[in-house]
Amino acid sequence: MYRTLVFVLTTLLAGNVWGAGSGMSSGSDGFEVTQRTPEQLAASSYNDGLKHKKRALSYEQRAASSDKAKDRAKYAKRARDQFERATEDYRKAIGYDNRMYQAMNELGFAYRKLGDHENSIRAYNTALQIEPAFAPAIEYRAEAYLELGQLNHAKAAYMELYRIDQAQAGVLMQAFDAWLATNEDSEFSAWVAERKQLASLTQAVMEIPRRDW
Amino acid sequence: MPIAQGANAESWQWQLPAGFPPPLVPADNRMTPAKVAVGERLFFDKRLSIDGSYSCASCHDPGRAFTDGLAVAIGVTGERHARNTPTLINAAYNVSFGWLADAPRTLEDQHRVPLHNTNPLELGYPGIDGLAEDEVVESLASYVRTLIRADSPFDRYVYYGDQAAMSMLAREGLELFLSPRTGCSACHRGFTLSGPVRHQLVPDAEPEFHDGIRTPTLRNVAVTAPYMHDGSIATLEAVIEFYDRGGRGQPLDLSAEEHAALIAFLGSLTDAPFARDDNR
Repeated sequence: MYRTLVFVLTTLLAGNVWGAGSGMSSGSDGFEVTQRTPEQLAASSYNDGLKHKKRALSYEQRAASSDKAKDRAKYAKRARDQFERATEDYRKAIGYDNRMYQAMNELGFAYRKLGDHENSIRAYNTALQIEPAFAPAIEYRAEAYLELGQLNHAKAAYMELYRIDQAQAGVLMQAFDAWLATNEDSEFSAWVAERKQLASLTQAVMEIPRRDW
Repeated sequence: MPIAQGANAESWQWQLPAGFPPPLVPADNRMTPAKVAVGERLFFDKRLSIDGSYSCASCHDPGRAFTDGLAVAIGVTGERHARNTPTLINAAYNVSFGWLADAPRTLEDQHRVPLHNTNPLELGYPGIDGLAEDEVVESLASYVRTLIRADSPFDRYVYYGDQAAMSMLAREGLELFLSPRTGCSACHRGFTLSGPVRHQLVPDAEPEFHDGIRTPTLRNVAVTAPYMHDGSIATLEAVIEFYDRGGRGQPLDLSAEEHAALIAFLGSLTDAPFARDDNR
């Protein structure tokens, strides 16, 4: 989904930069970019943020797989630096386009990774005020709730995702499993087990059949 | 009752239950609020019948999940139809209408059947002054297409996580229903529990059923007795017994508790009743 978004935003940007009437003028010195729209600037900043996010996640993986404490600390710091740079990019994107819910969602993710749950949830809430059915934000926010131990909010998010986007509900279920691997809560564990069984069991009555005999 | 000019310009906003996609709508009969409103009035309008005694609702009673409670439908002249009246709830998603494989494929085509069928005479449509038959058909089809409902205990449990909505017995029944052992969901599948498949009948079935019959929805099945295409089984319990004995295939060897569990599950598929305005 994100790759698609990046592609769309990149295409939009490229199309406008190289297309006719795109804010470019041709003079004796060649082509000159004269002006970009706020939407183009927002897309550019957003894409920059995603690049930093990708690097940050890569550093996180390296930190996790390192044997030496020194390396783990080094990569963790690099990951943190990249997430901080990502937040700057997303904030810049939102400055250009304050309806860009995708940037708000990613800002929430970066804040969460930096341990700032308050601003993280605030960013997700803003994204969902603009686009209430934006499943990635519902899923990300639920992971923030999970980290805060707000299990009822996380469960409610799962049910919402289950109704509107079962693939994202599956992603959240994986996060629940990961949480349960390091936390104990018998009630939540039973709920997760039941929902997993139900999701698997009811596939036949969830499908949308073809309209032919 | 002409449809107001310009009404077609209004677009229809679907209010759909969780897991339900927008229904297919024919390009030549787009949904509009005005058309749906006219269709609703016509649905209860006895002027649709030859002697002014019958409307669509005479057989498709909203209080009975749009069925009639009879084994087979009775036409305007008192003749018996050969088939049981199917529910109209979620009919918008049917792969076809009626029971047979060669039945109409759109609600628009289907609505001409009760208007003009003479074997038996269902309504004996005499025409309504000021309203073309196409307008009648398109309005009725548009209204019926809006009869979408899925707020049963099953939906509240599965889609909303309401633990209290379905009893433990009903949950056991759900598991049994979806199990390969009973094979129920091999035919009754998809969000309407009807599926795109045909029930194959026993070899000595009537010739017209040799291609099988459309699998009916099981939503609201507890309030749409009697059952089967000919209304030949009076209760859900008897239907379960029929399939337990072998029905269309192998015996299921269900225990008494499993019987009860399946009944409880089927009961959990009942939606809140549609509002009925007797003044219509």
